[in-house]
Amino acid sequence: MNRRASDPQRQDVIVATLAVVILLLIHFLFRPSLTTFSAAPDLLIGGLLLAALRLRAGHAAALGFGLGVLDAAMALENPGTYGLILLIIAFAAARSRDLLFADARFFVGVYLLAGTWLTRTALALLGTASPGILEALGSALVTAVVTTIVCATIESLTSSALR
Amino acid sequence: MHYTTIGRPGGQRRDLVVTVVLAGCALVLMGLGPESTLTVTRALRSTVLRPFLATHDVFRARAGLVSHVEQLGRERDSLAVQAQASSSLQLENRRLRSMLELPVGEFGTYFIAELIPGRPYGGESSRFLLNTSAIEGLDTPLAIATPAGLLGVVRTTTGSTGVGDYWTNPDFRAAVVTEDGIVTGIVRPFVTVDGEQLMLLEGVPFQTDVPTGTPIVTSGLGGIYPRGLSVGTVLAEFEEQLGWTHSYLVEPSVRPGQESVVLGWLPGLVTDSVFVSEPGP
Repeated sequence: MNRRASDPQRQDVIVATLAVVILLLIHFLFRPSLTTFSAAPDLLIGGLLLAALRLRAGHAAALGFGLGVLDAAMALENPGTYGLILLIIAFAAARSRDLLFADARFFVGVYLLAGTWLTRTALALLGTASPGILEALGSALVTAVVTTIVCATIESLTSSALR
Repeated sequence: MHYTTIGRPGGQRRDLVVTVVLAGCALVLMGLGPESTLTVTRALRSTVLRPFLATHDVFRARAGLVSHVEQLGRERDSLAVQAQASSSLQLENRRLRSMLELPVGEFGTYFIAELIPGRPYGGESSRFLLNTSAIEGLDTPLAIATPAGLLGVVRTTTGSTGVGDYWTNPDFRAAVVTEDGIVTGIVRPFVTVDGEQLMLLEGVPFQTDVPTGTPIVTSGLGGIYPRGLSVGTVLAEFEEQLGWTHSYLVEPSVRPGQESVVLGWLPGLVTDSVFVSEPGP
């Protein structure tokens, strides 16, 4: 990150880092409960997408790969498949930042929604559960909406707690 | 929060190289065999993920404590009745075998194991992890059951951990027979157009009719599954009739769910971890 960044920017980085860590901790601690409900948020992908906003593309890809392998070990799925999908998503998210991003909360919401929808659909279709395409798309959309709301809430709470 | 970009970062080529190398690692992981994948999974679960998995166990234990106590009481009473009936049956079986001068039957033995279900995104998992020292060094496949019936099969083991498939896995097959021993066939998982997960009994001779409600049990053919393990009950004849055989939809005895303790079956007599033993003289 930019060493000469101003204090507000540095505070933004701290808030974002803390929010991502909280999201990932909640995900791994409550994963069995979160996977039981179809409308539960996917905080792993939400946290990864938020982290990708701040990281270099290579670092985001490494984080995505690592989180994918860890999550696959919990899900008893193929670690390579999960690692590859989250790696690609994180890399694409970090690279698309310069193209798509604007300094507005609306864009963050759209970015989280689209990213989560895409990732969850891919994971559902490539996993061993193999649901139908429509079922995967519908389920992923619900998850994406809830994930966006929860991530935005946690980020706002973290921000207001630190400022 | 402000999401200001930091401009086009330098070293984009390095980012790309890192990503390509990691993608290569992911592809290598995807190509690994079941044993190697299990080794990676077990290493991660016993190190980085250990605190999280321990927390999951605490949550699960607390959540199900009250209901488990009531359920265990019912199961204990039921087992006591079955044990009484089974000991007299086994005694009678021994007497009959000795009268017919048949050799002593080799009953399989059961072991108790901890089952950890897979939790993928979208739908139910058809895979589980099995933890027990009883499977160390054993050849696979190994049948896995609950007191209610057949649950799945362990495909691969590494040390005291095994990876298995529920009967819902598309690759699952089991040789079965009706409880009266007349009709034989093969069951496989089947998903209806409504998305309901059932079993399909195939290979039933065309001139043979299996009434609705007929219990289906494992036939013991192949030696993987013990004979007489409950598989399900016949629901209806399946519409498609392939060649010279019937096929029937079967309601499974056990649906993969929240089982955390299961029974594994070892063919033949084993001295260690004996769960079902022959009665004394």
